[in-house]
Amino acid sequence: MKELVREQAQTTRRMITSLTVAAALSIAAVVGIYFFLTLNGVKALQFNSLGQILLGTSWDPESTPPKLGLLPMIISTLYVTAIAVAIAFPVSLLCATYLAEFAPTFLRRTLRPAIDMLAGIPSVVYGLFGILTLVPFARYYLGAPSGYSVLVAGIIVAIMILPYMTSVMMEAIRSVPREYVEAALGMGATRWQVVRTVLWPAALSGIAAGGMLGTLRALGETVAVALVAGGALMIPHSPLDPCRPLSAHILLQATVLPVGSPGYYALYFAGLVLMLMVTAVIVITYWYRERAGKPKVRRKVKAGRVNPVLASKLMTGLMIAAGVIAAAALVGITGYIFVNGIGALSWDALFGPVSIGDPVHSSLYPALLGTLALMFYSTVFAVLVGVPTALYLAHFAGESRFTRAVRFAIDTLAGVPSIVYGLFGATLFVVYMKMGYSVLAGALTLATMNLPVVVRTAEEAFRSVPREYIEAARGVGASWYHVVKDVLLPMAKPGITAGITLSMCRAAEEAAPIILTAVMIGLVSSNPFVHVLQPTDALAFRIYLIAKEYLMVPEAKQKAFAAALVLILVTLSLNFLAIYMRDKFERRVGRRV
Amino acid sequence: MAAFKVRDLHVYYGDKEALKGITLDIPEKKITTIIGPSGCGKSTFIRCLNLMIKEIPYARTEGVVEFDGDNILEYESEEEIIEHRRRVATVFQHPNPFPWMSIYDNVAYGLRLMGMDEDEIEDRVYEALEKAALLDEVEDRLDDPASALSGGQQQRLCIARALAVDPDVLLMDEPTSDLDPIATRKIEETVLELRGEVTIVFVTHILPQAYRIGDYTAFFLKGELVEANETKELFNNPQDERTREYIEVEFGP
Repeated sequence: MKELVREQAQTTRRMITSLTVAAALSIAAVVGIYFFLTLNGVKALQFNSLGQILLGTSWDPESTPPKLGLLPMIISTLYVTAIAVAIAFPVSLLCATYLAEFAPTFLRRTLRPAIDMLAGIPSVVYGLFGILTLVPFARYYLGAPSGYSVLVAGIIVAIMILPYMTSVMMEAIRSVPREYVEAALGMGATRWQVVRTVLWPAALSGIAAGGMLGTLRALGETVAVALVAGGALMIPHSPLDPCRPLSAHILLQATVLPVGSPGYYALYFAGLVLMLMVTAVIVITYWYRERAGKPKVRRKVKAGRVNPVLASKLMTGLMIAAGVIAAAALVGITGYIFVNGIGALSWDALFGPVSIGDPVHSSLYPALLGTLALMFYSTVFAVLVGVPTALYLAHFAGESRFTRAVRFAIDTLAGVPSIVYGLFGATLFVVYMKMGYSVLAGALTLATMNLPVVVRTAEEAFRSVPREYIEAARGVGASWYHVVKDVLLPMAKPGITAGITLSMCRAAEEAAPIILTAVMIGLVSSNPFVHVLQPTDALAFRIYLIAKEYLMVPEAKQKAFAAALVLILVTLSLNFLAIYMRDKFERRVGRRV
Repeated sequence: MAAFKVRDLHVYYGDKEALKGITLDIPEKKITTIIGPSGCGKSTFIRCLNLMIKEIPYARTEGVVEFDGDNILEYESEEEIIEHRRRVATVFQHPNPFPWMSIYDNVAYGLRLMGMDEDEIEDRVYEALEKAALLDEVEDRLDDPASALSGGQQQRLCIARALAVDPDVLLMDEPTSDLDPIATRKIEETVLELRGEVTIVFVTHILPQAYRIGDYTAFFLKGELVEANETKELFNNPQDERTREYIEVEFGP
């Protein structure tokens, strides 16, 4: 008896040690990202001064001396992000308000999961859609010289970030206590006055968080922007000019420039600039939320000059219009890909002959296999580190400095753009750890990227296990090891599964990180599950490559549509599974769905 | 004079009939207390008087609630509904001042919705705080967040917010049930001060409270109005057996 108790206590101690080690790895990842970016980034300063890089307008890394000016890219990033957020923020806010407060229950029940599903459409698919529809439209009807332009990039990114923003804002507005709404209605406020004076101020923090999330994605969005922005190395003077944001610049040049060249180092510098922008957005949002949390001295609620009832009707109309626009855009894109994809999908397109180095005529199964392998291995790594970290944070972390560092690390990782993960993986895994372009390097890179997703969903799942079950187990003398094994893990399983599927989904849809770490131009026919140190093909990469370089080739569009449809089917079904699991979990712990 | 004339009022939540034909006059500028056990329809009745019933999509009403010559249940347009609510103010069970606004802004809220200019608002805010017996306690910290006040003070702030718009009627739905005895007593004193100035409908399940402050009292049970009379009369000489039983059980022997 004594023996058994001692053994169980020892197992518990060992378990807690392992959890702590796993949690420490996320700190290591953040330190590693900053370390490698800085290490390589500052080497660019050997060739050009800080001023020449930040304010220089020409990029010619091969000339002597090299010209490493990043100003056009910096301005492009800000320009595209500004347009995207300017469109998406108001539309999302109105949409979210309508869905949270005005929409009939059945509509909300259908649309909430639908919005979450749409967040799972890969960015490369948005890029493909943009290049085949909006780019020609801008060329023929808006007078953009080539069609590829800041405006089209901004619109595409706006559509991409819409579901994210709407989802976060809707949750925030939904959680405003009813009693405040009733108080305002009881005072004779119109519906619109309730929105303006109660719902928005009370949900301000969540609305800001949604805005931040969307802005971060817009700043870091790479593949779609690389496809539709045009890639011109000039400062865009009008929204119809082509441009090249920082992220796209890194993607386009990283595969071209030799390791160790001046331009190669300048790309890491570009990565640093991008991280600086991301950090600035996070800091500003935190500061704003902090400040907005305190009531301002005599904040005026203006009645407005317009008749309040008329204003209310107008705004309700506007909200419905925003909802219709958002729905039309998203349904339009999905429908476009489905209709064209089904037409293009055939046995031959999927399982026909493979011709190496020909992305158009080679069949899709090596790409599908590669995507599955990357999903599988990256998720295994992300779960091995992420779930123990989540468990540590949820139940074993005190308020120590270490815990705070882990939390900060997870928050930071969540904000890092995918292309920066690509740079990180390309340095650490591909070069330093000598993995070369390989399934393993790609999977490890994607795993680092997905760590925050897994940690957050799993932590949430562990935390919502009702205390009484834990106490019941502790009360009969269970060691913490047994509490974890018999209570926490089984209870949190659907929540953890939701995190796992979301992580798989992101691994499938992200093209930018794997282009820098795992895929090669040209197709390799080895089995990516076995030959993990070989480069591989992947669906997202195939779509990107065709859309970027092969659209002139006959049948190229067909193959891209087919690949896009397969990819969407993979991500949407995973997303569906994740949403189903989340709902199941929420019901299990008895939360309002 | 009756402020509200309620005639054969039925309310249905889906299939469930919550009020089964209520006929009652609410006298003007008096305090009418409404008593009854939980689930008897007191709150539903209040929701009909301020038309908050229209915010519940699955609720359906029949009958007449006459206010100022109109059957307010027939109000459909937003204009009519909000205009009515600006004359009939409500204080809810749980104190609900807006925590993101200052004390001053909470009281000014309804006035600003009406588009009143700020000079006039200032006078009205002080007046309302005075009436709600809160001014002395908060005069030097009007810019503090409302959430800094105690529960009882928050509820009196809600009363001030309701009174600021100068309503004809003040509806109070169990306003003291979340408060301690001292804070409760203060609210009761505040309400008694308002007698004769504004029509008050005060819902409570505490019978001594209904007895202390009421001019008239109505007893609801299972969605029906059992008895309504002058308060003293109803408590000392109940006409209906169910009223007598309820009062005996609740008051004790």
